[in-house]
Amino acid sequence: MDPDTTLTPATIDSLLDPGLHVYLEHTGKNLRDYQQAANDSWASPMLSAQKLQDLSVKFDEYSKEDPRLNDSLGPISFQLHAIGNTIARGAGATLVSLTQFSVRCPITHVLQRLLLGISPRKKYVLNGIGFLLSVRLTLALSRKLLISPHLADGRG
Amino acid sequence: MVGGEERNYDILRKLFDRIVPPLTQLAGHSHIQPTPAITVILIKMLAELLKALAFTKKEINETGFRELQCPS
Repeated sequence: MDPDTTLTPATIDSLLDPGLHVYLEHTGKNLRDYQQAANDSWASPMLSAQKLQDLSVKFDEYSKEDPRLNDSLGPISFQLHAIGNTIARGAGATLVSLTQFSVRCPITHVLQRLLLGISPRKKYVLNGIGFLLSVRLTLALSRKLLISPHLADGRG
Repeated sequence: MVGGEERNYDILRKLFDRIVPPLTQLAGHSHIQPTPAITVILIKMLAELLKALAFTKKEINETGFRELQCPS
């Protein structure tokens, strides 16, 4: 693709369609509807921070270790952390900070909880939040790309 | 640990392993300043990630991890 070529939202939609179609087919969830809701409720870094902080509180409720599950989730957590950092930087926000995780980086806090441990009896919470983070970070990154400057003015 | 739970952990690990490659690929490229060409590549990676999440979620829901059912 020519670096100066304009990339329209319609083009991005068409590129995402295969993934969205498979997600709908296998889970019954239409992420196009969910994406609009996510865009509304995760509209600002502060709202996102609050929601992620709420998720991290849920993790606080389950503190028993489950090394085997954590071991399985470790690689996913690591990559989500890396992407989360990128998104936060791109949004001009300070949501993620390796040195101030307890106060200002709910993404880090949540993922740290993934690694620290959770009661085996509450695995569904961890599992569900893991997916929630994956899907929401995917949507957040899509949104970030959609509002990138080169899309606004049509230049790379 | 009982055998069934052991097996569940093994299955779960395999399911999660499916998500790691597209996530790793995405993380490796997501720090690059997006141009239209890079954006196209990233969006295609996102689509692949969504597919991996869909397959994994479906299998978790069908495999019998009652305590692992995805809430959303």
